[in-house]
Amino acid sequence: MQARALFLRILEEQPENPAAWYWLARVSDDVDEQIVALERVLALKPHLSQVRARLKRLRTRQQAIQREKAAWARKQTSKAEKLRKRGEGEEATALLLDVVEKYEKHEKAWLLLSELVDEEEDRVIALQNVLALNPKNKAARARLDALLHFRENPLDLAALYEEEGRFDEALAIYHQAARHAESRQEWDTIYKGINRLERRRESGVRHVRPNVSIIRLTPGPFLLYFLLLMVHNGLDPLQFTPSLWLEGLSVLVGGFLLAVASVRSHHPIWTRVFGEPGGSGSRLARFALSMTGWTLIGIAFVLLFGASLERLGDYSSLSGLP
Amino acid sequence: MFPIKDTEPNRYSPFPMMTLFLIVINTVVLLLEPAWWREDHLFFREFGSTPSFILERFGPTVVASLTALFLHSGFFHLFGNMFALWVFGRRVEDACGPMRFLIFYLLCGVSADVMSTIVRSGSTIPSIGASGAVFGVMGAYLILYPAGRIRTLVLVWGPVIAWPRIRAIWIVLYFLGMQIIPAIDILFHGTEYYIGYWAHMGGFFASVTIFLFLRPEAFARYISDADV
Repeated sequence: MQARALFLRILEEQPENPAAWYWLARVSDDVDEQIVALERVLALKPHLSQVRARLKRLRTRQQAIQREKAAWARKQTSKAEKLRKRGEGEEATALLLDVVEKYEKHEKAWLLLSELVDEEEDRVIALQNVLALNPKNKAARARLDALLHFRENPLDLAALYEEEGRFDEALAIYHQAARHAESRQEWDTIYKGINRLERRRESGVRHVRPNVSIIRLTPGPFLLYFLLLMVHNGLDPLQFTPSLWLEGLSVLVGGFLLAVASVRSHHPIWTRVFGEPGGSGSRLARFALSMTGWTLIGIAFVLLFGASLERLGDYSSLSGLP
Repeated sequence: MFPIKDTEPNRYSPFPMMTLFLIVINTVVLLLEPAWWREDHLFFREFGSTPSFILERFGPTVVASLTALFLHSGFFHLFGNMFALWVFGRRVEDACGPMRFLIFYLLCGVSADVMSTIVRSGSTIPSIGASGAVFGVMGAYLILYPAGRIRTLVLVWGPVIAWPRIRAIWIVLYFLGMQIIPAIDILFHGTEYYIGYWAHMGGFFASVTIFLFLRPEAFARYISDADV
């Protein structure tokens, strides 16, 4: 090691010294360092065929080592995954930290680690490492964008936690935000949130998952439409035409969009359609979605009313009725 | 017995916008009705809901089914319905939000019409009024706030009156009870009444759909046995 340190010192003073680079490669234990040193030698003296041959051998060895490391990392990561499934999060985290320390190119280990670490900053680093290894990983990109969005907009995160029933975490964010409130109005808004959450917690209100709320709220407008269709068709559902069913589908989709717009959740619509990093719908996105929902519902009802009004002429024959 | 006021405060929104809007619309329509009457008396046939027309698919039945909800035969008819809508609708709207409350209100009204059509299938007498929808709102109130207290005007004996606070469950059951005997009479003897008892029952039965319209928090409170 003393020889290595000596050569490194020489190279600090004489970076263009090929002999120093060559001897650094000879004394170093690290294959990667040996390869870098010999590459420098060849850059300075390209005609040295023995060096070139040695570099080739080293590269082959490096690839073998990388394969071994990757196989080991895969094995350890799948072990960590099993530990996590068993609820042993701390052991899984320790194992993954060991993996990324010894082989930092394992994408899945970083991804799993990003889900296990407690600190937001650590999650960001883990996800950035995933993206450095694979910039096409959309899920990691979306999660990183969401984390960065929530860092800038903590109240959005509090609202999301509240909707997910994580009241303690939401309250912690509200309390922190209250300490940094910049105006009386902002403080009032935060205080209302704190009050609401504490009341809800005290009343022992059970958490209802956002998806359940969406499923529950979706069929309301369709039910009204269906009853009107029944009225239109003499209470005989067999008389419904395919176009009426299609309009009914439009009402159902409209009802679904309205439900999504009225429930704060991590629905894919927010990220896929609106490209929102927070993934829970900004005020504008919610407005746009609910307007789309109302439009779909409105179109179906207008068409049904139109079909109904077409029959208004029937009344000309009414004079004979009692 | 005449319910006057729900004594409990709102939880989610300070003002029952949609309830008030419905009351205003119904009132405006009643004021405009004389201008729409025609010599051939077709107005109520066109815009009231007639069971035999629905079954024969005659006339604009869908439009009539909705417009009938906003037509009343006179001031007392309107007053009774709108007063009940104000008393019971305020907190039901609070638990739903205005737009969902509107859909629920219309759904109860149309359900009332469907029920009335099924029972009075041969009738050519048009039915009008918001009472079916109002019964739906009352049913929803009973589901959501059975222990809610309603200030009620009670005629004790002759001119002697009292205005105690009575639990919602007793008031709603009282009004529902008043429908049952005539409803049975209609069902078994085909008697024609001027009041749509089966429409009231239909609206009331439709009130179970309130769970499809509640705000997420109100629903969570309901299933947690907390005050909605």
